[in-house]
Amino acid sequence: MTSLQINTSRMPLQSWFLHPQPLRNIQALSPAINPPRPALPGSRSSGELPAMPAGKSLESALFDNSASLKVTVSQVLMHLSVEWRDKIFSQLDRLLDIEAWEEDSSLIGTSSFSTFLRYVIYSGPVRVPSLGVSAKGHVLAAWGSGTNRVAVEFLAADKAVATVFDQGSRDREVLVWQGHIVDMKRFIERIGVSEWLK
Amino acid sequence: MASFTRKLKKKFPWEEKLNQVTANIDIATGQASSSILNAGYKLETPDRSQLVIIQPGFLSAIQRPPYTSWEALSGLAHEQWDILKKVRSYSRLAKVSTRFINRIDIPATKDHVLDLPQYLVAGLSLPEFAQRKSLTNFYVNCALLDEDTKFTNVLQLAVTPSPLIDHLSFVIDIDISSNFPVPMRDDELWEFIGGLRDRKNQLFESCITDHTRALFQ
Repeated sequence: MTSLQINTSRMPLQSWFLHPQPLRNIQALSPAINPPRPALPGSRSSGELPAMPAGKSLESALFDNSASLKVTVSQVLMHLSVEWRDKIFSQLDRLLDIEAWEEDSSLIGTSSFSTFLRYVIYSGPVRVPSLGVSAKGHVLAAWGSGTNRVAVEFLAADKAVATVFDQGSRDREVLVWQGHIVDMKRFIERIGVSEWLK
Repeated sequence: MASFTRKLKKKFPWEEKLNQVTANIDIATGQASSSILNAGYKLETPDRSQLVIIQPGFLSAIQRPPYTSWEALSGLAHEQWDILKKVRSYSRLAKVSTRFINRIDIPATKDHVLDLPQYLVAGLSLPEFAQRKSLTNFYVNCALLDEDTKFTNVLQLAVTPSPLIDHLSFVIDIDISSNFPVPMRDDELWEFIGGLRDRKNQLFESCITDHTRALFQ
């Protein structure tokens, strides 16, 4: 998170009149939602490996994981297109499909997923990538095709590992980069492959 | 509640039971007891965009982002209300409310000092001594009673961690409710609820500036 400050010097100086009357319970708001909550947790935790919750059925764990990720998407949907949402949702459904679940499949870490969303919004319009999940529950995203590909593992806390595959003059070239996602955007521009993500 | 949730199963297939758990421990005797009470249900559409919460005495219809239109949201509430009336004998409504939570994302790079009054008319007053410090967080909650309509306006403003990089976000949360007699006739009821939403819009618009409006474009 950035260390942002708010200038209060021009905050409105108002005369507030407190009217003495019995306040009905001001916490009794619509029961739907409680007072403002952080909209989308910045991906802060590190080394997350979403474990299968004890006592929960697989179906229930997959449902909860999918629900939580979809709610996370909805919180930033105003910065994405509905088409983008539909494609991401359908990939999440595929990754968390109980019929396709295997012993080595992993749930998707919410912090890693937040990093992924923060990156795609920050880096401007990008194509919907092919998504996967690492054994540690990190989101794997791949853009491009054939020999020209960018594969990214999104970690918690806005970190990522990018692997760029390109065709050299004699053999395939592989370049691995790791760092903050803001710098990943610069890295991808610097090596001239940003078009692969568009 | 169970018969209501069954009626909604097709449109809201994802069902979550809301449990109220009570645990008592008697320190003197070391005896412990606990109980779980079903306090309602949360029902969601497959894409999680809409949900309905039913609890004893409460029915909530919720639209998650993206908010499309008032007609869509009130239509959702209307549908659920009609279903509830079919499964339950009619009783007078004790309270109705409309609540809108808007998050405003303001572009702001690292170490940027944001001039909040450019975006918010409502805010907080601080003494000069406090103004020399860095404000990094605030939360304002006030309840305002509308003398002519008797609507209670709960306005909450808060800084919230931004989901976006290089942005600062704050939330304007407005809940307009009426505890006074709510019309019983359906057409009057929905007109009344529409009136709550109009008041919400007035309050929201009065809280923001043209700079904020420009962010919505």
